[in-house]
Amino acid sequence: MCLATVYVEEDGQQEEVMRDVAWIEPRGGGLQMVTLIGESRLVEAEIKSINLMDSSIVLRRVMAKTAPGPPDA
Amino acid sequence: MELEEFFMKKIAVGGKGGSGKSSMVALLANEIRERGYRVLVVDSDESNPGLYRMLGLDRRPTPLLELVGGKSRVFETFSEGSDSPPTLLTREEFRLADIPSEYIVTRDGVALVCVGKILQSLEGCACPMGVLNREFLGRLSLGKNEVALIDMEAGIEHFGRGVETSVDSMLIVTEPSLDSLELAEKMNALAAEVQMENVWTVLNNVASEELDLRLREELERRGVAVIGSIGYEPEIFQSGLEGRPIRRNELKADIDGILDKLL
Repeated sequence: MCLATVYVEEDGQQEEVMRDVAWIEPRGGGLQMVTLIGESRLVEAEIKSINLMDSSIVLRRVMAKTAPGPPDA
Repeated sequence: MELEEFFMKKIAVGGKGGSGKSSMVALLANEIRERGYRVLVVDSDESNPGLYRMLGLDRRPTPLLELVGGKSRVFETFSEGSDSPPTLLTREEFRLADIPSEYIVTRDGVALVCVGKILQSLEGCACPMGVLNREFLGRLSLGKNEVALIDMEAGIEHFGRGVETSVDSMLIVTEPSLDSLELAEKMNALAAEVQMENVWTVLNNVASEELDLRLREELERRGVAVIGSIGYEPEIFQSGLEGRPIRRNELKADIDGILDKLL
C-alpha cells in the first residue's frame, strides 16, 4: 500500500508511531507527519530509511543539541 | 414490530470482476429495506460508475475523497504548514446522520455514499480510496435497524489495504467459472487471516439446479461456505444495459433465503 507506516527505531527496536501517513515535511528540527484523513503529529526525529516496497519509513530520534553557554567572562 | 439489533451490520460484498457484486448489492439493499432496516450502500469500487442507477437514485454523491481535499489537492492542504481542519473522518465515531448532505444520497430508506473514483490517466494508484474506505467504515457507528452494504472493488487488493478489519462479514459473489471459484477460495483464506468469521459465497447466475449442485459441491470441496444462490435472470442484464434499477420480484425468494441466514 502506498500510504506509509512510520516507525521510530530506538535501541535496535522499532516502534510504530503512525499509519496511513500521506505527507511528511521537516519542521523545527523534527518531522511533521499527516495522515490521509488529516491527523497530524510532530516527531523529533530524522529519517533513517524509506522502503517503498512495503511502504514503511523508519525514523531515529534526534539527539537534543546542547545550547551554547554564556561567553566566558 | 421492533426489529432486534443484530451482530452483522457491516457486510462487504466482494468477488471476481463481472461476477455481479453491484447487482447483488442492489438486490440485497432493496430486500433489507423491505424488512424495515435503513440501508447504507458504500460504493468503494473506484472504477464502475453506475451503482447509483442500480439503486434507483438519480445521482452519485460527492466522493468521500473530497472530504480530505480530493486526491489532487490533498497535498496542497498539507503543505500549507498548518494542521488540517477536522472533518467527519477525524472523529473517532460518527453516525449516519452526521454525514454531510453532499456526501450521501438517500431515497426510500436506501442511502449511498461513494469513496472515490479514478478520474484520469497517470493520477496514481487507488490506495488512498482503500484507506478512506477502511477508516470510514471503522468509524461509522450504525444504530439499531441500520445495515451497511459495501460494494467492494473487484478482486482481492482490498485485503492488502485492510478494509476487512472494519467490517463484520463478507459475501463473496461467485459465478459459474473456474476463476471465480478459485478466487472465492482465495478470498475465504485471506478473510481467515484477519480472523473474519462470517464469510460466505453467494452463487450468482445459476441457470439450473444441476449447476447449483455442482457449484456447491466444488465450493464445499474447497472449504468455502455457501449461503445461497441467485438464479439466472435475463432481465437483470437488460436492466444493467439500460441503466435501470435492479429490482426483480422473481428473485425475491432467492434473496430472502440469503437474508434469513445473514440477518
